[in-house]
Amino acid sequence: MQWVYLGIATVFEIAFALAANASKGFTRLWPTILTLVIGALGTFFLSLALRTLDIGVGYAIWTGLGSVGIVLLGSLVFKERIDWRKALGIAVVIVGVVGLELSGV
Amino acid sequence: MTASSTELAQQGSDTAQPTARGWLVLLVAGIFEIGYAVSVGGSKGFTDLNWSLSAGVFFFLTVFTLTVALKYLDVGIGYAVWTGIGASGAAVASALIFDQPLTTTRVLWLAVIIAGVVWIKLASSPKHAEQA
Repeated sequence: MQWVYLGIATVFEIAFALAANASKGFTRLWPTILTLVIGALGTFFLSLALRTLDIGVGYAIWTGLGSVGIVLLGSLVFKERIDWRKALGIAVVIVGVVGLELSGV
Repeated sequence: MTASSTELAQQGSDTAQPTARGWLVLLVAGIFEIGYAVSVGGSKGFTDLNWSLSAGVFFFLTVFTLTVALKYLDVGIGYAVWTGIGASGAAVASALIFDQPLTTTRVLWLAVIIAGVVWIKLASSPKHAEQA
């Protein structure tokens, strides 16, 4: 169940980045409020995941998959090119997450 | 505050150059992010009041200081350093505070994930986008 919570928290993390960007450095009211609400929801689901996952592990996977998701969403929605640098970063994060899981820690 | 950093603050993010002030604020933001991660974990699904309050306070502090720091620094580089401090610090702090294991194997794989995240953030820098 912790993986479901971490997945939901990751989706909120990606939405948080989009909303924070739309708030233009928290200078626009409604995007700022939306950002804070999304941040609170993401934090709540992260805390549910961290009831069973150790903090260092859960936090790293959360921020790792969040970063990958932001790049993928940027490509799908905003047509931002995934250059070799971003592709390499995505591969390294996924190798790290899978490796961490397979090592059973 | 020096004259040049005052000017930078007035000019905003468009023309800001990296400054010592920005790096200092970013370092503080990274430490707040560690506090956020540890508190969110310590709140046990927001059932522990003190850790929950701490998580809320650190959330506002880390978002606020990161926003300030990114006015002075390149966004990609700023995010990369902030998230690197937060993720590695969270692992160390949770080992110290909650006795959560930090084995060699775990450190290795965490380092791989964190390196990947830092790399993605650097690759997302507007400077790199211009070069691409």
